[in-house]
Amino acid sequence: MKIRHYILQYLFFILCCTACKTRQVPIQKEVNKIPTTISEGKSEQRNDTVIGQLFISSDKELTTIFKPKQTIEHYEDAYTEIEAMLEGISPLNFKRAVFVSENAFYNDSLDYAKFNKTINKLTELCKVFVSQLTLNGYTFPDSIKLKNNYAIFCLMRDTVSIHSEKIKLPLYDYDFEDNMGTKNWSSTFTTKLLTTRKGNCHSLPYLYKILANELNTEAYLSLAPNHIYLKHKSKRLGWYNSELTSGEFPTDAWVKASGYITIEAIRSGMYMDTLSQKQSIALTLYDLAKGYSMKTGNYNDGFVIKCCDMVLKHHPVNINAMILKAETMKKQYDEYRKAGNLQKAQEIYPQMQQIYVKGLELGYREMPEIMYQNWLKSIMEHRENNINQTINRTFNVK
Amino acid sequence: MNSCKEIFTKKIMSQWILLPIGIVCFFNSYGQITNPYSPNSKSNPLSEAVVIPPIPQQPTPNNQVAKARTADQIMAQVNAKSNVLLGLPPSAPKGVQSNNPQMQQLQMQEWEKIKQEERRVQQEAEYKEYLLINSSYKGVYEELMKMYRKEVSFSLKKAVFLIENAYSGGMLNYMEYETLINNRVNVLRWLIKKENIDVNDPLQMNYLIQRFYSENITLSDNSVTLPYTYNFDDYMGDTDWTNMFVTKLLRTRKGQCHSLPLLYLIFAEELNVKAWLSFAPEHSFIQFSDKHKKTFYYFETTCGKETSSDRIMETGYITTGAIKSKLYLDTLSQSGLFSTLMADLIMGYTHKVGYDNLTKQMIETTINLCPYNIQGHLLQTDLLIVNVLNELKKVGNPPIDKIGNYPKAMECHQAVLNQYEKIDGLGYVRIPDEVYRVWLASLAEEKEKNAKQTISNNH
Repeated sequence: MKIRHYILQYLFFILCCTACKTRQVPIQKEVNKIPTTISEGKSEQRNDTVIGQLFISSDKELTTIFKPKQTIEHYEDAYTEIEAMLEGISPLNFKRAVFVSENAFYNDSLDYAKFNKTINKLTELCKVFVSQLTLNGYTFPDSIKLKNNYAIFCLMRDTVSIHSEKIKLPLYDYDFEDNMGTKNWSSTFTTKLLTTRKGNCHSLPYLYKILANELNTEAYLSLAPNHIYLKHKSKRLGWYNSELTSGEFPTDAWVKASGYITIEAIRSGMYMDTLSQKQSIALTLYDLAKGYSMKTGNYNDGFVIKCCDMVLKHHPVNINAMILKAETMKKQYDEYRKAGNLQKAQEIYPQMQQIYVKGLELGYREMPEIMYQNWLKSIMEHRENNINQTINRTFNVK
Repeated sequence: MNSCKEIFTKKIMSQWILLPIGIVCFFNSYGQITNPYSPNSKSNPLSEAVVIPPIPQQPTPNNQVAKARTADQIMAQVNAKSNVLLGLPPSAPKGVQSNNPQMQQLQMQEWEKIKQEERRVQQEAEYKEYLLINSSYKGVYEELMKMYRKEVSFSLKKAVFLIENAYSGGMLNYMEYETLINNRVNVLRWLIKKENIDVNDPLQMNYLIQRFYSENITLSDNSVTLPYTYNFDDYMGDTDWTNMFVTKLLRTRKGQCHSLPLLYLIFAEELNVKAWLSFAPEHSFIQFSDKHKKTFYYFETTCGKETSSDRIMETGYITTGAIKSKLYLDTLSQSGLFSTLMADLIMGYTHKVGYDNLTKQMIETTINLCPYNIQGHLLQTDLLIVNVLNELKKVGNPPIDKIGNYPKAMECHQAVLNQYEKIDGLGYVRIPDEVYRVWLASLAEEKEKNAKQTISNNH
């Protein structure tokens, strides 16, 4: 009996040893090699090494036992989870939706717990900063909300002052090299922003929104052509805008003029409108669809259109989803024609046309790439004329 | 004696000479005192289409009339009465001050009585004046509503005149007003023929009207029609409300951002051309389009040039919320136009009288006609504030921070706060005067800059 007992123990020990052996997860070509350590060179006074550490999952042992999922399965799982939020089955959680939509691109290899931990650290830092923040001449009851917003803004774009010491955290800065994610789609990810501290007009507002939700303060995502920024409301200051790419508070006039936005687009709510929590989560579904199309190049299996339809169900004037759906249909139309399937081509053409026409009616006008680049430059050059000086005075911005 | 007779005869003769002169003067003045605006007058062009309510002649009161008296006269009357009460003769020697306390008390009492009587008479006169103004404004209000309900034909030209005439106490001359407009319209018609302009093309016709705001027009007889310009003095009508009027603009060729666009629309109405009034903070301008009405162009009447939505938004006080709720930059519908005309009527009335039941009725109508016309909501806010002040007055004007102790006043105060929330929800932000002035001046500067640029390009 004793020998049997020992043999069983020995076998159990052997089993455990083999299970701990690491194995590489197969990764598609389009996905970047994920850095496993943070870059230490530029950060000087940072004491917390957890901030910026990547969220690689340690549960890889399971992948050796079970068959690895196909890409579409990762994306379907993400879709299901976000759909549940939109349909009211599970609670709305923007942070989770962002993570899930980006994790699908990495084949679910990221660790949500670590992601959460980073967010929590940033939230705690904001809370400490808020307790020491003073506003200039602001006595309205929503001053806490205003302070929270400014704290997140400073954390991301400026130096943070705690106990009269200026702690210079590396800024979450704009990635001029790959701002559209054309080289690597993951350049637009919030998870990438948290590790590399370089983001774009997609990831920077997303991080702000996540932190605003954590601090329970009001901040709304707002769409502009190829751009996202934030809108806030204050009792005394009214509605004002935060622009994270340049780190300023531009007026509506500037956002409209520089963004090539028509009056019709504003009236229809396509651009410069505030997105609700649900609509913000619907936007992550668009990101999921876009990520899928960038990763696989697959326009025919219906996944992209399914995502776009769900987005449009909850945000009917979401021009990004409209354009993606129309472009997907256009690619399908071209393929049908090439294959000689005229019947299908004729079916899909009017549907595609309808979407383009609706977009035009809602006030959409295409912005050329060169124009967008010029616009980015002008944001930096002409900031003085179109900045909301009242906000700057309230926040004591120098 | 003879000299006296001669002197006496001369005097009578000189007086007799005056008599025929007097007769001649009397017959020359006859016919110039009749009121052309009374409904019975045949020369009144409005008598057929529009009825102005008759302004009744001010009746003389039956008892004492508040005549202007000097202080000496009043004192003499007081003294006379006091003397009578004391059993003394009424007339007292001049310059005598009574040291008798009883006398002084009686004098004071009499003084108070006379003052009260004067106040009562003055109040009666003011009340009668108020009734006159109230009835004339009520008439104009009802006439505007008839136009809105299409019971009478709508004419912006007539509607604007009615509103301004009500403020002016019926003293404006409609014929003069119409003549000035017709002169300009005739110039336009002459230009249409001369330059072969297509009357069915709204773009061409709008560009034609715009020339009245930007250039001198030389006619066939070499006379020059000068453009309308902006009057930077008192452009908000703070000193003189009539500076906002189209009638004043027509006479002086100087207007502001209220009268200039309204006149534009009157010309457009006369020529059967479509153009729209559009609002910006404390400002209005014109939008026009082509036949297809797909693209809309903006015309700034204060400096006579085309502009853009971006330029207008540079005031910084047009939020996307305001654009979405159609507060600003929208083409005003017919209801919107009536709403703004009604707001003009109310503002004239409140300048003259203040806030009463008629004001309240007119404000409710303004808001019902066009819920996204911010003027109605702002006037409603003023009315609610007046309510609060009235309630506070009833309880002895306590300081505002003690308003919680007075339920009725607190209720009115809460209504004001709710109204502010509503206005905030529409996206309204009040533009400071200085910001507005600087922005308006920048539009004019840009016009000059562009003109210089054009000249330098041509050389």
